Amino acid sequence: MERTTSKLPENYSINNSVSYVSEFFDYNNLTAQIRDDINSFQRITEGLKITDQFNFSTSNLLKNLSNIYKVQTTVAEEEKEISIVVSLFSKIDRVESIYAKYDNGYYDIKIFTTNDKYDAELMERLFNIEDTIFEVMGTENFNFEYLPAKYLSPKEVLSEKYYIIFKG
Amino acid sequence: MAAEKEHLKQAWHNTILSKELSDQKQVHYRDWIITVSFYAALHFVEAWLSTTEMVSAVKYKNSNNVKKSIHKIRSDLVKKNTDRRTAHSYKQLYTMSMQSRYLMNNGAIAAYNYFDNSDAERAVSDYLVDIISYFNYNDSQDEFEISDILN
Repeated sequence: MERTTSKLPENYSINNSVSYVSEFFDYNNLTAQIRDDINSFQRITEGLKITDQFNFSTSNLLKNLSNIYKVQTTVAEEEKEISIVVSLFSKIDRVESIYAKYDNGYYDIKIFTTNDKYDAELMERLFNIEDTIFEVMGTENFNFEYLPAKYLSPKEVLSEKYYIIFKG
Repeated sequence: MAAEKEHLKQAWHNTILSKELSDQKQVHYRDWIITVSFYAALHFVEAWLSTTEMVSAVKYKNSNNVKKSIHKIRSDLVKKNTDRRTAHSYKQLYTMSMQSRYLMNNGAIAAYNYFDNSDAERAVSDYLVDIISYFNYNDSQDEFEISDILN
C-alpha cells in the first residue's frame, strides 16, 4: 500500500500549528480524545504494574486489560451500593454519621445515632431500611451495627480501616 | 439430635436466669437481662440450625467459606429462614447486647443506665418469646428435668 503524506498548508509552521488543528478538527473532541488516550495508557501501565509483567504480548495485554475492567466495574458497583446505603439511612434524622470498612467482599457499616437511651422504635426503623437494602440490592454483603454517638466516639471504637461515608 | 438437646438445655438455662432477673421487684440488672436473653435466643437458633443441613453457624461458615462473622451469618440465616418479626426481634436482642458490650468497654455510661426497665422487659417477654415461638420450642422445656437445666 502506498504511504500517504499529509498535505500541509503552505503557511504551516510549529507556531501556527494550533490554529491549523483548530481549523481542521473539533478542538473539544480532540482534547477529550487525547485525555481518553492518556487515561487508557495509564490504565494499561497500571495493569502491567499490577502483574509486574512488562511483556507486551497480546495475550498478556488482553489479560491485564480484562483484569482492569473487572476491577473498575467492581469499584463502580461498590460506589453505587454505598451511595444507596447513605441515601436511605441519611433520611433518618437521628443518624449522626456512618462509617464503612470493606473487607473480603463485605462491608461492615457502623451507624452512629443521637439517642441517649436505647430507642427500640428507632432501631425498628433502621432494621426496615436494612430490609429495603436487602430487597433492592439482593445482597448480604452488608453488616449493619448501630452505636450511640453520645457515649461512643468513632475514633475510640473503630479501627483505622473504617472511613466515613456520611456526616449529618 | 444430641446437639439440638444440648443447645435447648443451654437456651432454657439462660431463659430462666433472664426471667428470674426481670421478675424481681426492682429490676437492677437490665444489661444482664438483655445479654442473657440474647444468648438464650442464640442457643434457640443454634438448636434449630442443628436440625437442618446447615448444622450450625460455625459449620455453615466453614463449609461455604464465608468470610462474614459468625454473628452476621447467624443473623442472616434467621433473616432468610424466618419471618420479618422474628428476624427483627433477633436483631433487637443482638443490637442491645452488642451496645451493652461496647458501653462496658468504653466507660462513658454504665450499660445498665443506658437501658430502661421497659427495654429489659421487652427483651425477655417479647423478643425472646418471638424466637421461641417461631421455632416451636415453647414446650421444649418440659422435655428436661429442672436439674438438667439448672444443675
